[in-house]
Amino acid sequence: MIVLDVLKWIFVDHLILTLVILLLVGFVFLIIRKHLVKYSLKRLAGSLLTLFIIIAVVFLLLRNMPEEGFIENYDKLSKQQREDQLRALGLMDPIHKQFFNFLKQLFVNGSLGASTKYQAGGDVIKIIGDKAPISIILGVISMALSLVMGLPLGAAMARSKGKFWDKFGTAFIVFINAVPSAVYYIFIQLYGTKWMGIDLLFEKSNWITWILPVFSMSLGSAASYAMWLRRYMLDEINKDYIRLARAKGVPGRSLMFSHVFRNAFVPMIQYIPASLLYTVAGSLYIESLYSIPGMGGLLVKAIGLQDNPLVQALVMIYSCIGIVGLLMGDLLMAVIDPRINFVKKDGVR
Amino acid sequence: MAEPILSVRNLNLKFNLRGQTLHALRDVSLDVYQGESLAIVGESGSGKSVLTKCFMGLNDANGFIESGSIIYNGEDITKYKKEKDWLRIRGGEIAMVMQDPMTSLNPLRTVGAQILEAINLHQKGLSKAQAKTEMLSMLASVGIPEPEKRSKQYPHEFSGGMRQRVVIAIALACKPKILICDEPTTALDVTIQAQILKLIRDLVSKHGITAIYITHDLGVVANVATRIAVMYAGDIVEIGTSEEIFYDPRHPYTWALLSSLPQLGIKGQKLYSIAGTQANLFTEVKGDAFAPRNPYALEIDKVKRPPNFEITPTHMAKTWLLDPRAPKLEPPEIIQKLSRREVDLNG
Repeated sequence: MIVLDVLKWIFVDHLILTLVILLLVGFVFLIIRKHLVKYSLKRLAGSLLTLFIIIAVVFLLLRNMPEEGFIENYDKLSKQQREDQLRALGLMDPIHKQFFNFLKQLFVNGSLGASTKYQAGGDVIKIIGDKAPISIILGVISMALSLVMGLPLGAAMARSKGKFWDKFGTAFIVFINAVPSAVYYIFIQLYGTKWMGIDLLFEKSNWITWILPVFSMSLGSAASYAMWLRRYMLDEINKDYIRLARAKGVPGRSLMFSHVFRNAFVPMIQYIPASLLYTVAGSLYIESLYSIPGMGGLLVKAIGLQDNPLVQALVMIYSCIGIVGLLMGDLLMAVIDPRINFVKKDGVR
Repeated sequence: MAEPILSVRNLNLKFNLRGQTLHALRDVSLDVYQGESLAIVGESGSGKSVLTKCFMGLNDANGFIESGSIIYNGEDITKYKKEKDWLRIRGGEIAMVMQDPMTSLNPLRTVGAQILEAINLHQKGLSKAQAKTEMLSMLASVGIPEPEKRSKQYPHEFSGGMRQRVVIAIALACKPKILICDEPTTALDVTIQAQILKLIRDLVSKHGITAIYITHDLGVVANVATRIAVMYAGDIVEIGTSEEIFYDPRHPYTWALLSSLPQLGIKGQKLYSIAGTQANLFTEVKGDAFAPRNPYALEIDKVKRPPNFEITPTHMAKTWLLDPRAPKLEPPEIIQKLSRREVDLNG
């Protein structure tokens, strides 16, 4: 019974956490196996430094915002009351002391402060934590879908350069890039729901309502994956080692997969962790179209309301995500591409 | 000499390039004999690579064979349309060593994996362990020390000469009957060139493989070839044993080629170079393609293409100078000296 409980805890209650931990463990394992520990630690140190600088800059910038962003019911308070509140929040202290307090709060209590306007008094991390999961799940699914659509399309385009699939794919890419996404999002929503005979709005418990938002979200990146894969594959096809592989009798299909596709995918793999992590931010337009209770638009709303602690927390989280994504992309490249050498200076490929 | 293993007859190959047609091979005929080392020489664009690529179906898609035949194993391989047909030839029958070892290996796969790929394709029925043993012995036979360790490394960890050894190992792992070496030493350091040539020569004779070298370096040719074909503007203008080509050349183009060898030049004198540029193959060539650059050209060269004149059963040249009615001409000074063996090719 205990075993079952543990399994349930791992795979049902904390699925996302388990997956993240598994991924990280795999990553560390690969890094150690490929003797990239020193390189990785160097990169990690660099990233931490960058992160610290970003946090400091964001913090300082938001300290210069008008003070009404930090106090509830600002208009109704007298000048004295306002000053009392600011003092109570520690905002009258010298700036270095404020920053030190903020860091202490963050690392000791794991708190990014309390919201002032959006959900007065609410813990910022809890506000974000309530909204992020649905955006992440939608984002991850749509990213998987865009890879599933984009990569085969790109490969087919490269294989039949100048023929039907290439022209079809080019038309698709041009359409997606040229037409404002809002236009085809609305078309997909209106005609899609009508055709499938379902409700216009998203409902978490009803899987069929997930299809259209996920599909809409994946179109843009599918087009760009197809475009880049086609380009990288065509670059590879014309290289000498492909000619040699052909001359030694490798059949076309396995040539395409085990030489061309594999090598063309390497430069693309660098961007995948970052785009995966960015799904946290959610899609503003799609989430509002289908009224999905996600992260999309939270930052815009917080800025509009002048909810400074919330803005600060969101900006810091997004920067973290960006930096972690780039770091993981670089490490992934290093694991996959043997030419990246930890002995050499960075950036040599 | 033995039976021809591969025989090309009146091959015409054209390329479609932006609405124009390039006549890359003009009526080429050639026999390749079992076990020989044939060198095809000629300047860039003379069609030597294109000709050998025809043997493996590796020419670009815009090239098409207009007429002629290539008989190999009793089959006309110019009739091959499907990839399946070519896969019977590529690697297992005819293998290739390419010019630039720096780019002809897959940068993302270990050297061992790339040799194993060839072994798995062409030596069927080997177990995994046997294939690995074969791969390691292949690496050792091309002179790579510590094969066990080196096989796990990637191409960028090898020097140019070592990579060319790997490329040779890949070609030999296919167990071919014919090995085409497309300028195998051009991209290499001069000190390495001789080693690589010797390696190819030794391995080829050890395994009884017929070798075809493509080169514009007559020094290479002197080292390895038993027979030489000189190509100019998409045709073989002279063919003979290396003895005949070096010491009794008959075609003015061969004279010019030999005269421009640095090791035959006279100290203090300007090195000979062939004036003009190669014939434009986008337009139909009238008469002898070399005539405009040929100081010995006759009137008929400008009008009528010369046929093959037989000098000995192994030596043939396409020049009107060999016609009985042609005026008797003395070849240039350097060639006469060569014939009298007064100068040494190895200079």
